This record gives sequence, structure tokens and C-alpha cells, in this order.
Amino acid sequence: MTKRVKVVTARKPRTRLSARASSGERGQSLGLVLQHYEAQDHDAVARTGLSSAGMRAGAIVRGMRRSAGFPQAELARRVGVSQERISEIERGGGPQGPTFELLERIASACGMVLMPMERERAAALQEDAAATAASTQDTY
Amino acid sequence: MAEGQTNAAMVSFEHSALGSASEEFKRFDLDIAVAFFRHLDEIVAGRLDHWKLVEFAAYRGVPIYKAEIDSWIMVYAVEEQSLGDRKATVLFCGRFGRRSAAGGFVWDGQDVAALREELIGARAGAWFK
Repeated sequence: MTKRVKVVTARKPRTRLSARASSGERGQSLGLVLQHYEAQDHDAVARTGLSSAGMRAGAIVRGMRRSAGFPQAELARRVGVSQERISEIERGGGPQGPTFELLERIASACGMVLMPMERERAAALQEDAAATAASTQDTY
Repeated sequence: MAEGQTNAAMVSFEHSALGSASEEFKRFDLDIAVAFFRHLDEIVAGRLDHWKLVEFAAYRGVPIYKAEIDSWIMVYAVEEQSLGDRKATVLFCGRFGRRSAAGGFVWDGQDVAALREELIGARAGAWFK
């Protein structure tokens, strides 16, 4: 059973203020933390609904989209998938990341091409994701 | 992309002098980690509207929240970025009743106000520019 997270909910939503500071693109992906748990327990992917390989692929997609200056909805329209799918990809949702073909379509829509290194990374991520999915398929 | 930077939507605080939230996160039991991951995913996906949560702290307009499971605690910030994007940064993970040494600070595992004013204040100051 999933543990319940306790947060304090306000009686009414707060005013949405604009922040005067930003972390920019600073930070280490939590995919590295998730990878730590995946190594311990193959159920981690199924239980979190996220995968470290998917999160790495998602960061590539998010980076390309932001470089192109598209909101998720615009990229989704250009690629021909739903915004929810783009959101899921960028968050590393599901046991597998995007297919290589979809990654290429996304890159193309962002006016980019996957360079040989990115191609190798993407292929490696797909292999990782496929291996993870295979090891967790009993849980689906 | 410079070292230490990522385009990920869910990241951890990392600082040579102030510690690593990812190393703190890894101390969670799997059940706890799973629940916190799902919580952050809900926030970033927008399924859980963080504006409906009570802030634990704020740094120059960036809201910072506290989530708890049993005796475990995670403190994270949520940014509304350009292009309608949302980004969550885990700033601290620890456990009530346990002392945590975090980048030169020691949290006694009890005093939440001290955690906010000292450790979170220092980390937020180093993180958000």
C-alpha cells in the first residue's frame, strides 16, 4: 500500500505571485535518486509510475522544447500527440520513455536534429527502459 | 549544458558547501521514497495545485512546502517557469527525532522553525538567484 503524504491544505487558494528569483536550470535530476531505488527493487518503477531512463529522456525533450520556446501544448500540436503525453514524457512517466521515432519527431518539431551522441544516448535510454520494463512486467 | 544543470522538471538541491538533498533523499525507505516521488510528480503534472497548499516558507516569492510521511520530512520548492512549466526542487530530506547534519548545519530533528530559518534559508539563498 502506498504511504500517504501529509501536506497542509489551505482553506482557499493563495494569490499566485510572481517569484523574484529563479533556480534557472540548476539542479540534479531526481532520476539519479530513482535509479538508486530501481537498483534495490524492481518494483520501484511500477510503484512510482516513473523511471530513471524515462526521466533522462524527458529532460532531453524538455530542454529541446524550452530552447525552441514552445509551451507543451504547442509542441504537442506540432508533433501530433496530446499535451498530456508530452507532460508524461517530460516527467519520465511510465515504465518506458518515448520511442526513438517520437524523439526524432520532437527534435524536428523543435527545429533540431538529434546529433550522433544524442542518438546514442536515446538508443541507450530506450534499451535501459526496455530492460526495466521487462524486469517489472510481472507487476502490470 | 554546464555541470550541475539539468532540464529536468524534478531536481534536487546540490551544493559543495551546503550539502546534497539527493543524498538525503536516498536515506528514505522505499515505501517513503515512492510516496514522495508520486507527490512531486502530482505537483509537477499539475494534478495537485500547489497554490492550495500552505507554504512552509518562501524565498523571494518562490513558495516552499513541507511534506511528511510518518516521521519523515521532505521540503521542496515549486517554481512556475516560463512557457507554463513547473519545476520542483527538493531542498531537504530528513526525519523527525533524528539529528541531520546537512552542509555545515545540524538540524536537531525537532525544531521546525530552526530548520526553516537556518538550513532552508541558507539553501534557498544559494539556489534561487
